[in-house]
Amino acid sequence: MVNLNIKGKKDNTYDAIVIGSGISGGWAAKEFCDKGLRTLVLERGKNVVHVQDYTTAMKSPWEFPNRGKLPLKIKEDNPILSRCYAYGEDTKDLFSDDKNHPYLQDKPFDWIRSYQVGGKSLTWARQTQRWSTYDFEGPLRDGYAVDWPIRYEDLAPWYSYVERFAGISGNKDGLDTLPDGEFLQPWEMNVVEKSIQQRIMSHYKDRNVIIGRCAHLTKPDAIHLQQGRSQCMARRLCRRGCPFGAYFSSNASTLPWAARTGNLTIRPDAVVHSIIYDEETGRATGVRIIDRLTKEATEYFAHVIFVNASALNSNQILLNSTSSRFPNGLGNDNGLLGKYVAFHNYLGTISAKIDGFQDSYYYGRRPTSIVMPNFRNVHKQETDFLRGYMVFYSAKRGGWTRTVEGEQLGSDYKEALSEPGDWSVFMMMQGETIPKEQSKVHLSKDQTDQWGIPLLRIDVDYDDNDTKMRDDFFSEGTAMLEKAGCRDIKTRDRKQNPGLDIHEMGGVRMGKDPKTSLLNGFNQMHECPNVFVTDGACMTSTSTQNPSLTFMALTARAVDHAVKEMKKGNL
Amino acid sequence: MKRRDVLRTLVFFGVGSLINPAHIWMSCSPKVDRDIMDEGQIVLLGEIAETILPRHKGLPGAKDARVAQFIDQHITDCYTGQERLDLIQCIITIDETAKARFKKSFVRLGAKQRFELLQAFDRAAKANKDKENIAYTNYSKLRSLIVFGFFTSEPGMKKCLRYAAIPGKYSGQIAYKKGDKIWEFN
Repeated sequence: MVNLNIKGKKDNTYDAIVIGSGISGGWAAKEFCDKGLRTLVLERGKNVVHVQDYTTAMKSPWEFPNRGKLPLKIKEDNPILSRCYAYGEDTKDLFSDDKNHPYLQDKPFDWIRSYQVGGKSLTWARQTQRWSTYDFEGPLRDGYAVDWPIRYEDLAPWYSYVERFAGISGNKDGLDTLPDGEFLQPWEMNVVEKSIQQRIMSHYKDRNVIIGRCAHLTKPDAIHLQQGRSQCMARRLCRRGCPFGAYFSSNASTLPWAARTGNLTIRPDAVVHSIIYDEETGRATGVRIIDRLTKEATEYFAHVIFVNASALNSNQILLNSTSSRFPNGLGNDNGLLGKYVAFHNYLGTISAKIDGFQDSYYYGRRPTSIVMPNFRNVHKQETDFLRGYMVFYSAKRGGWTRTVEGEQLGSDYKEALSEPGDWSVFMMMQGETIPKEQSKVHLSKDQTDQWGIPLLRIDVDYDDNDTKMRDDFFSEGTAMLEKAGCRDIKTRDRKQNPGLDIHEMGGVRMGKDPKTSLLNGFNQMHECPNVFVTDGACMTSTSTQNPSLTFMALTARAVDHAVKEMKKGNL
Repeated sequence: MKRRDVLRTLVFFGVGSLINPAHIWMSCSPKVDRDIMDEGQIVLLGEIAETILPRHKGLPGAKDARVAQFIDQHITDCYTGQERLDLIQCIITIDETAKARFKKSFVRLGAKQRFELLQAFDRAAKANKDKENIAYTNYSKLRSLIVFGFFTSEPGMKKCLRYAAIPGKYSGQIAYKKGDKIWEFN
C-alpha cells in the first residue's frame, strides 16, 4: 500500500488543474495561464525540454548504430509499439514501452503511447484539417451515435484562434467539405502530383484534390517568432523533435508560452490515479496522483479540472474516479462512460507506377502530402456503407533501395542507384468509423499496473462498414489512378489492428442530453460541471479529418467558457 | 543449402563449368555453426560488398564505407540467430562456389571472376521464386543489406548521393537531367 502524503492543502491548491501536457493539455494550460489562472499541469511521463532533450534531432543516419533500424531486443520487448511507423532507433525515447505500460486487449488493439511532457504532440503526423458542417451533422443525419451538441459555426472562430497561434500551412481552396483556415504559405505539389490532381479533377466534378494542410511554419508570423519558433527547414525529421520549433508541439509553443506568464507549474512523473469528488458540494475538488518513480501518492486541488490525458487514458482516469455518488466512474450515471469508442480506418493503401516526367525532380523533404477531402455520402447517403473517407497520395521518384534494370552488381549498378528512378505513387485512405456501444474500454477487475491503477481493457474492432469502405476505396482509388495515367496499380490491405491509426476517440462523448452523453456542448461533464474533457475522449464521432486541430479548438473554447463561468460564480 | 539449388548454380554458369555440387554441399553446410562472423568472414564479406558496390570514378566503394564492419555489428543487434546463420551461410556458399569454380577462395579471385561469380548468384536470385531456396533468397537479402549499409554510411551518402542535412526549403519542381544525383532519402 502506498503512503498518502498530503502536504499542506494550500501548497497544493491551484486555480486550475490540467491532466496531460499533450496537444490539448498544452492548449488548456496556455489559455488558463493567459487568463491569469494559476495552473498546474500533471504529466505522467518524464520531462522533455524543448530542443535540449531532442537528443537525436541533428544526427545523420550513420551516427545511429543501426542507421535508424530498431535492435531486435527492443522489437521483442515492444511487439505492439514496433508496429508503429514512427517508432525507430531515432525516436524510441519519445514512446512509452509496452512492458511497463500493460493493458488488456479483449480484441486486438494497438495502443500507442508517448508518456512525456508534450505527449504525442512531439511525434504526431502534424496534418490539420477543419471539420465541415457535414461532419458535425453526420450522426444526426445518418442515425448513429448521438447528435453533436455543436455545429461548425460554433467552432469556426476557435479554429481560427488556434490556427493563428499554432501556425498552419495551407491553400485557400474554398471547399465546403474542408473549410479554409488561417493559413501560412502552402507547400508545393510536385509535377506528378499536379498532373494527377488535374486529371482527377477534370474527370470527377465532385472530387477535389488539394495540398495538405499541416502545422508547419512555412513562413512564420510575428506571433510564431514571439514563441521562439522559426521557419520549417524541410528536413522531415519531425518526430525526433524539431530544434527549429517549426512544427507545432506543446513543447515548442503552448507550454513555454504558458510558463512565461508565471502562472504555470508542470509536475512531470505524476501518474493520475483519480479525480477526487466531494459529495457535499457536488464538485470535483482535486486530483490524486502516484509519483511515477517513488510511487508516493499526492493530492492536488483546484476549482476546475481539465482532463487531457489522451483519449483512452482520460477514459481510464474517469472510470477509476469512483465515489459513493459515482460508483461506476465520475459523471457516469447513464453507464455510457467508456463506450462508443471509434478510430480511423487505415486499411486500404494503393501503389502505382507512372511513366514520363523524367526531366523533373523535387528539392527538400515536404512534411505533408496531397489530400482529397471526403467525396462519399457528403450530401446524401449514396453507398452501401455509412460515411466516407479522406484520400492521401504522394508521388516520388524511385530511391536507392529499388531494383534497377540489368544486373544488381558492379559499377553500373552503383551508378544507376545514385540517380533517381521512375515515378511512383502511393495512396491511402483515412476513413470514418462508426462509434458503437459495444466498442468500449473498461477497467480490469483484478489486474493493476505498477502504480496500483486497474489495467484498461480495450474492446474495439472493425465491422462490415469498415471493410465495405475499404473495398470502395480500392475500386475508386484504382479508377482514379487509371484516369490519372498510372499503371501497375496494386491495392493492399494493411490488415492493421484498430489503434495503430493513433486516432482513437470517444468514450466520454459530447451530446445534448445527459441521458445519452457525458459532456455538454462546452465539454463540461453533465454531472460534475467543474470537470471538462477536451481531448479525443470527447468526440461524438470521428469524421475523416486528422483530429488534433479539432481538439485544440475545442480546448480553447472550453477554457474560455470555464473562465467565464468561474467569473459568474457558477464554477 | 539444398542440392537442387547448387544444381541451379551449375545451370547458370553454363556448360563446361566445373562445379561439383556434392563438394559445395559437403563443404559449406557443416561450417555454419557459429552465428557470429569471424575475421576471415568479415574480410570475405567486404570483398563481396566491394564487388557489388565498387570504388569507381573516384567515388568511394563498399570497403571505403566499411560496410562489412557495419553489417557485422548490425546483425548482432538486429538479426535473430537464424537470420545471422543464413547470412553467414550465404557468404560461405559464395566462397565455396568460388573454390569449386575457380579453385581459389573468393578473396583471391580477380575482379572479372568475382563479377562473373556474383552475376550467377544475382541471376539465380532474380529467377528464383522458391522461398525455401535459402542460398538465393539470402543472396537478395545480403545484397539489400550491403546497399543499405553503403548508402547510409557517411561516404556513401555524402559522396554518392545528394545529401542535405538541412534543405532549408521545399521546391516541388526542379529540372532534372540524366546524371544528376538522387536524394539521400527514399
